[in-house]
Amino acid sequence: MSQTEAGSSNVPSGESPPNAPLWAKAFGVIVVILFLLAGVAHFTGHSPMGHMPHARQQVHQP
Amino acid sequence: MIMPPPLRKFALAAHITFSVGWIGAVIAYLALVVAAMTGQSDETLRAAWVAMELIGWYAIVPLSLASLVTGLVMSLGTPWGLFRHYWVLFSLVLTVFATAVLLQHMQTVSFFAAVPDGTARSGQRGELLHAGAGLLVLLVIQMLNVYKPRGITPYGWRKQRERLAGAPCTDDSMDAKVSVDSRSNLTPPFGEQG
Repeated sequence: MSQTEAGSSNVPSGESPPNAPLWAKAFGVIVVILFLLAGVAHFTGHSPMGHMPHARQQVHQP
Repeated sequence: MIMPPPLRKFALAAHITFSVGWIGAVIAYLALVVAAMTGQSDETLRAAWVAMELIGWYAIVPLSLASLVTGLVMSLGTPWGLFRHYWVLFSLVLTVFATAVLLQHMQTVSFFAAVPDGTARSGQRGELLHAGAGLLVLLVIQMLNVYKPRGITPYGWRKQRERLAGAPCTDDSMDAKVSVDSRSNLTPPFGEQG
């Protein structure tokens, strides 16, 4: 993190942008895993949505 | 464009109302799911699905969209920006994700609300997972907005340098202050005020 101390200048020092903090990296990994799980569950039919086609066959319209 | 303080207050009040309302509506939805799962009578199951459909379409979906829109307004109308701070970025991504999943899942809820009781009972298994995971995501977003963990993105860093180099005493200089102390009293988007 290349932020300067409070009380002096608020401009980050250095010519390169600061690295992402650890929490952001961990959060990014978790979000990507979440997206992948949701995508896999959706496309393989293991999500709650997967009940729909099966259930639709049993619908008895009045 | 930075909003003037009175407008910012109003937008913040609206954003808090919609965001907290969204969480509350999901909790009410979860109560119906649990009642339907534990109840033995077909009447309870039928009533739960109908109520879940109504709460979903007329409370949760509107609140989620309103929360997303007011969050965008808050971020774009304040020095926080939309892509400048990691906590804002993650809040945006998770809010869009939760809203998209919700809109898709509501089709399933409407389907089960219209089918016979025996079939509807099988749909309850997924409801607990959906509503529970959704509530967890919303609580994570809320925590992000309350604690506002530090961290500025490369884009935010670049914009900050450009603006401070060009106009050190403008309103944009607040952006630098935000990056140093992300727990300041500026109004945060995508969640409630800390």
